[in-house]
Parts: sequence; structure tokens; C-alpha cells
Amino acid sequence: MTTETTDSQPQREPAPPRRRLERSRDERVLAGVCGGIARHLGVDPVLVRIVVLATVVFGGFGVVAYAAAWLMVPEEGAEKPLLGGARPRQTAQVAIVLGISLAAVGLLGIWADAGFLFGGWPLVLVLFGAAVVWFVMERDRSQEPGTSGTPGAGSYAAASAAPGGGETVAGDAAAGGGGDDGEGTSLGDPGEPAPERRRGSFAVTAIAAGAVCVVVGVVGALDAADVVDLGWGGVAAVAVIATGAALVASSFFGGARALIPLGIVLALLLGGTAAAGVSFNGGIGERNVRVLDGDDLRGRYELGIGHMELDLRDIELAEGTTRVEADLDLGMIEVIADDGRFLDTGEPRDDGQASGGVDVKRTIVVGDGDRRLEIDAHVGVGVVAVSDHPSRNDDEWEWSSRRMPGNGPFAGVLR
Amino acid sequence: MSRREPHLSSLLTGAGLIVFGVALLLDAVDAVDVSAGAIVPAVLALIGLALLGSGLRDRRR
Repeated sequence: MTTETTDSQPQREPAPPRRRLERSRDERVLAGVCGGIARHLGVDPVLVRIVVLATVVFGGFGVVAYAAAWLMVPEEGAEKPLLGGARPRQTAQVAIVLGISLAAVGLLGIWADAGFLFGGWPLVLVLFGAAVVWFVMERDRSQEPGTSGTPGAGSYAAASAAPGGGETVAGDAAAGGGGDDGEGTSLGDPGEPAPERRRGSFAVTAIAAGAVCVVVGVVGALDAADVVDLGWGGVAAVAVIATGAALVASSFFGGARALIPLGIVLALLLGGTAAAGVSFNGGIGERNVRVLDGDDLRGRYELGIGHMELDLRDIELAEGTTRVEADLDLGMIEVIADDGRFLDTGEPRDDGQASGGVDVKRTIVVGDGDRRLEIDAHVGVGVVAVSDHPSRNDDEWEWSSRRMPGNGPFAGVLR
Repeated sequence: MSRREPHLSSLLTGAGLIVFGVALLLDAVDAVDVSAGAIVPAVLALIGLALLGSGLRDRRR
């Protein structure tokens, strides 16, 4: 059923003016956010600053919230906030780039290293998504023509009802004719050519993208809080599902074309990482593990991206067989042991060979007599290398790719 | 009363993404093992769905 809006509908009563939250010009240390909140709530600004500082120190939430308020709360006397000062489309583009950057930084674990709540990125994603949805809905509300759409149609109706006057969006504007009518717009005589109007509009895309961010952020936070156990791969899969659901939902409101390539790229990237067994759960950097006593070995060594070195020189293995997993998503695993102690390098050649490529799995056995250590090494994309270290002098240890035995694009020899 | 038609590209791609995402989710919880051999055709199918939707939409206009 189509919601129709006609000019004959009575004009809505103007809502009573709301007390607007503004950044203070007088009570400011940085951007006047705390001063503005204090004035809005009628409390002492110092109290607000203490609360904000506490949230900055414990978890870092305050930094994100303060930055968001700086962008989205207008300054005292100003009509629009910084984020809304530019044209909506430009603003959205900047906001989307900013959000993706923040999320990317979050995914790389930098937020987590900074001690942010839930590893940081879910919170950033939720805030960003909510901000986008809020921004678009606020914008549409403020630009809603006097003949408003049915409230039930929500912002989608407003979005398609040509906010911003005659602005057409590159999105689906080309689909102007035909029977693909916008949501909640007044529909002229079927015999008349439909005027060019916003369909598959920016607003639909922005709200859909924002909703995806919120869903993925919430799932990420639940995963980080161990409420659910999905891991990186599971959360990424939820992102794909949420993008799909948003696209399906948006299709009934004109579509969100910008999400289509985004969803496909997302599927491509995540599908590739899933196929390679990449989980990105272990962090980034260099991990050097030197173990001298077999009892000190852990069951699993994990790293997301980087270089993991398992140095087993001089190790005194425990009796029996000990099993260890070494898992790296992207990079290189090196297993080093004393000369002659490799019982099995997991490859036909055993002269310190490295093999690489995608989804590399090798079972490496070190030991002597009844003392054995089996290392199940897995690299999503990269190299697994073993070597009988000929000497304890690291200067003689060198990565060389001069010999290419043909085991993959990264194959080479450690000597 | 007019009948609003869904945006085909979004609808088809969205449905494809949901199916694809569910497969990835099952892989993540080790219910199934998604291999590269399955991923590539699936992504190609996804792109095909998007193009199909777009083509059908253009044809209808």
C-alpha cells in the first residue's frame, strides 16, 4: 500500500520550540561542549568536565563522544553544527570517510591497544551509525515541507519527498520514470509524466548504512564482551548479512545503490579471508617466543598480522608428545630449532625450507627420543619457515629468496 | 492507487548478500568449511545478481 501525501492535508501544528543543546562560547576549554551541556542541564560545568574526564580515562569513551558532540552540536548562536554546515551530501561523504577510517583503525586493533571499551571499534561503529541515522532524520525533519508525509512513513518518506528542494541525487535519479514511485510522495495523475524526484536517495542509503554500523557495532561489542562467541569472522559475516538486510529493506524505499558495491567488496574481502582461514583475532606486530623448558609451552600462539618467531633452541622438551598450535593470519611464522632436532618439517624438503601462499598449513615436529613437540602451524596469507639454526649468532641468520623451489609465490629458503 | 515496485538491484543483491553472509557465519562457527573454490563463484553470482537487477530495471524503464 502506498502512502499518499496530498496538499489537501491539514498543516501540522508547529511543535513547541525545544531547548536546543548548544556548545558554549563563554564556558569553553576546548570546544565548549561541556559548558553547553552544563547550561542545557542547569548544572555546574566543572561537574560535566569531571564526568567527561573520567570517561576519557576509563575506557576512552569520552574522546569519541566529545568529538562527536563537537561535530554535531551547533555552537551558541550558530544555526547549524559543523557537520551540518556543509551541503548534506558533502557532509555525509566526509562523515562516511571519517567513520570508515575510524572503523578501520579500530579493526587494526589500535583502539584496543588504547584500552577503549570493547576493544573500541564496536563503540565507534555504533556511535557513527547512530550519528548518521540521527543526522539524516534530523535533516529531513527540518527540511520537511509544510505538507508532511504520514508519520508512519518516517524519514524514508521525508527522504524521498525531495528534501532539499529540487536536488536530485545521482543515486537513482536516472530511474525517474516508470512505475518506480518514491515512498510517501504525492503521486500525480498516472497519465502525467512523473517529475524527477529523489529515489534511492541519499537518505535511504545513509540510514541503511547507519543501521548496518549500529548492528555490526552491537554484535562486535557482544562478541568482545563474550556474550556471543563469533570471533572476527563471525562479526564480519554479520556485517555482510546486515548489509544484505539493509539493501533488501531499502529496496522498498527506492533502494540504496551505494551499498551495492560496498556490500560486494565486503563480501569479496571477507570471503577471501574466510577461505584463507584468516581471523584477525591476534593483534599486530612482532611476536618472538623463546622457550627453554617444554613445560612452559602454551597450547596456542596466535598473531593477527606480522611476524611470529618460535625459537626452540636449547629447549628441554617434556616427555611424551606435546602439541602446540601457531596461528598467524597475515605474515610469517618462523620455527627455529637446534641443528638436527627437526624430525619433520612438514615439507618434502627439510633443509630449512619456507613455503608460502594462501592458507598454508604445516605440521612441524621437533624432538629426540620419546620427547616430541608437534607444532601445527597455520598462516592465512604468508609464509611458514623452519630452520635448523646453524649458529646462535644472529648475524649469520638471513632470509633469502634466491632459491625458489616452486611451492608458492613466497617460497624461498632460510639459510 | 499506485503500486510501488522494489528496487531490483538492491533487492537481489541484498538477498544474495544475506545468503552469502549466512554461509560465512556458518564457516565462522565451524558449522561448514567455506573454501576458496566456493567463495569465488558465490561472489561472481552476487555480482551477476546486481547486474541482473540493474539490467531488468533499465529494461523496464
